[in-house]
This record gives sequence, C-alpha cells and structure tokens, in this order.
Amino acid sequence: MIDPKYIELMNKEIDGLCSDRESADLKGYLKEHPEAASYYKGLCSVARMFGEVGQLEPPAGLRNRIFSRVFGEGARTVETRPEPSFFDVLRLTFNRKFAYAFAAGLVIGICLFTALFRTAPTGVQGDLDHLYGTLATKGRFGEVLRAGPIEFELDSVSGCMNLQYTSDTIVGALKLSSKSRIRVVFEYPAELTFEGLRAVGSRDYALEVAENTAELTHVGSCDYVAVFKGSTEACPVIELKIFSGGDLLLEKAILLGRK
Amino acid sequence: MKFSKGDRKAFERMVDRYEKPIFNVAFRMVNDYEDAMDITQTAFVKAYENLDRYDPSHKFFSWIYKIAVNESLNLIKKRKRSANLNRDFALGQTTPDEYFAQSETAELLQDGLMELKFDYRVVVILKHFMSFSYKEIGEILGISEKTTKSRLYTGRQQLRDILVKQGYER
Repeated sequence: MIDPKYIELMNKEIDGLCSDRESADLKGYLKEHPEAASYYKGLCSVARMFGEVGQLEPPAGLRNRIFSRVFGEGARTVETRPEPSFFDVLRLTFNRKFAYAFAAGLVIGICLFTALFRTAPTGVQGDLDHLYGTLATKGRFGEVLRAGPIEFELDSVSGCMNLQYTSDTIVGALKLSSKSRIRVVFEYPAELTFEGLRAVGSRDYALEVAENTAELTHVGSCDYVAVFKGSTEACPVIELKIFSGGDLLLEKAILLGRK
Repeated sequence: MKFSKGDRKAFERMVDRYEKPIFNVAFRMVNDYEDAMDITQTAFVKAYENLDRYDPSHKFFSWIYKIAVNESLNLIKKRKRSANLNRDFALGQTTPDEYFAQSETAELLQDGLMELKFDYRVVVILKHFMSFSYKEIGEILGISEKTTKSRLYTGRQQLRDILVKQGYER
C-alpha cells in the first residue's frame, strides 16, 4: 500500500512542482519502498510518452474554411489531396467516345508539337512540363529574364525562389521545406494577375487568391510553380512574405526589370 | 488579446494563434481527423459569433479552449447516441501521415486516452499536450484547482494501468 501523501508527491514531481525538500523526501521513500518505486516509474513513463508525441499540423484548408464560415466568403480555396493514380484516371475517364476523341487529340497534338517544338530555355527550374507551355513559346518573341534566386534559411523554414519572365509572363519556381505550417503570401501590383499555382508532389496545401494577393498555405517539403500574367515592362515588384503562426518570418521585394 | 466583431485582422490573429492548439486538443479528445477539423471550425465560428458575450475579465485563451472542449464533448455525446459510429470507425478515419509516422507510441497513447472518461481525458490532454497549469485548466473547465489536480492524478494513474495492461513497459 502506497502512502497517499507520496502519490501526491509523485504527481507533483512529474509536474515539476516539488520543492527540493519534497523531492528529497520522495527519493528517500522510493528507495525504501520498491512497490512505490515501480508505481512511480510507470507514471514517469506515461508522462514521457507525451513528450515523444508531437503536435499535429491542422489541415491546410482549415483556416480558409473558418474564414469562409465566419465572413461568408465564397469558395476561393484550392485544396489538393493526393492525386489519383494513372490507372484511376484511366478507369474513371476512358470510355469509347472519349478514346476516339483522345486519339484524335493525340494526333493533332503530335502534329502541333512537331511544328512548334523548340528547346526550352536552359536553367529553367521547377515543373518543366508546364514551363514549356509558358516561357518556351514566349522565348520566340522575347528574351527570358531571371530574378533571384532568393534563398532563405530560417528557424523553421528554408527554401528558394527563382523567377523567370518574359514581357508578359512570369513563372516562379518555389522550393519550400518547413516543419510546421506556414503561409507564403505573394503581393503583386494591379498590372499583374495570378494565373495559377502547381505543386509538385504536395500532399496538402491550400491556395487563396484575393485582389493582388495569393496566399499559399504549406507544410512539409514541396516544389511549387506559380504563374503570373501581365506586362513586365513597367518593372513591377512582387513581394514575397512568409508567415508562421501570424509572425512575419521573411519579407522580400522582387523587382522585375526589363533590360 | 482584444477582439471586436467584424474586426477581421483581429480574428486572423486569433486563428493564427489558436488554430493549431485547438485542433490538437480536439483531435486528442475525439481521435478523428475530420471531427477535429469540424470542432476547430465550430469553435472559431462560435467564438466570433459570441464575442459580445465574452467577459474580458477572464482570459481569452480559457474562453476559446472552453468552447472547443464543449464542442468535443457534444460530439462525443452525439457519437454515443449513434449506434453506427463506434470507436473502430473513429480510429479508421483518415489521419495525417505524420500521426502514423510517430510510431507505436502515438497510437498506444491515443488508444489509452480514449479509454479514459471524458473528465479525466480532457485534464490529462490539457496538462500534457498543452502544458497548462492546474489553475489554467481549472479556468478552462470551470472547476477548482483541487478538482483539477484530483482528476489529473486519477487520469494519469488510470492511463498508466491501461498502458501496462496493453503491455507497454519501459
């Protein structure tokens, strides 16, 4: 039978509330009472378990869901889930009619590709499949310029951003790695529009686009490609801001200047 | 922290600060990712809708945690009424990869917590996951410090017994 006084002391000790004298008293008691020592060991082990289990990151779309409910905002959120496998896509989309259309499209696509193909600009990073469609064809009509890289190594987040742009298209390749959830905010002037964002291999992210602001909610490691449209002739500035739990971690202004 | 209804910036700060801990408390309480999302969302919506009822003489965090705890309790009661929704169902819901990646310990602990009565579970979670003091837990739950301590000690002891029964020895 363990003296209730010492059970109280054991709990106090676990909570870090024992005085030196109480700790010493408890230690002495535990030495003399193996049953109590074993009980105390069990309690300590339970308390330790909590320390081994980390906090969960809330899903990326939760914040936007809350704001939608509270302020009645329309669904501007783009949330991704793990992409279906190739076979899932085939199974869900391929019927006979679709197969004919697909085959016809493929033939036309091959012809167009052959006619239009040219090498992509060197050093393009990020999602190359998509950059071909934006910058590579633009390269015929104008030079592809670069801004960056902007590299950052902060306490909880690291990454790099490269911008490549022509006179009317800006493609940003963003590499992010963070243990906890962060918000990456792009602020851009009125002459630009945010065309879209693609994540390469991301499981969980959310994007909210408002007037002249695109806000990406991110956790983990992932590469993104963001595309802006609009004239870069007037040397627009894109601001990159990174927040964690409401704190501003990084603020960079990216100047897009034509030669 | 001061808030007034319609103040979007202030509300954003509130969400920034409390979203993660509230979500974690809710998840530990109900052991279901989707339900934890719903609880978190409802807690913030209710907090916003009832800002005019908030008594500034009380700490803001205890108020919002209280809402989240009550929402968790409501959900658990609803679950009990629903014959179809048993514990296995809840455990089988989508949980983040990170949760599974944290190995056996996380699952074992969560299973143990779910065996505790709600009154004990909530105190243990607020103490060990959120590191609140006895006084703060008392404020959130509207109970005395003495009751908090008593529930915490009992909860811990029961959790230890459950884990030992499940074969957890260290």
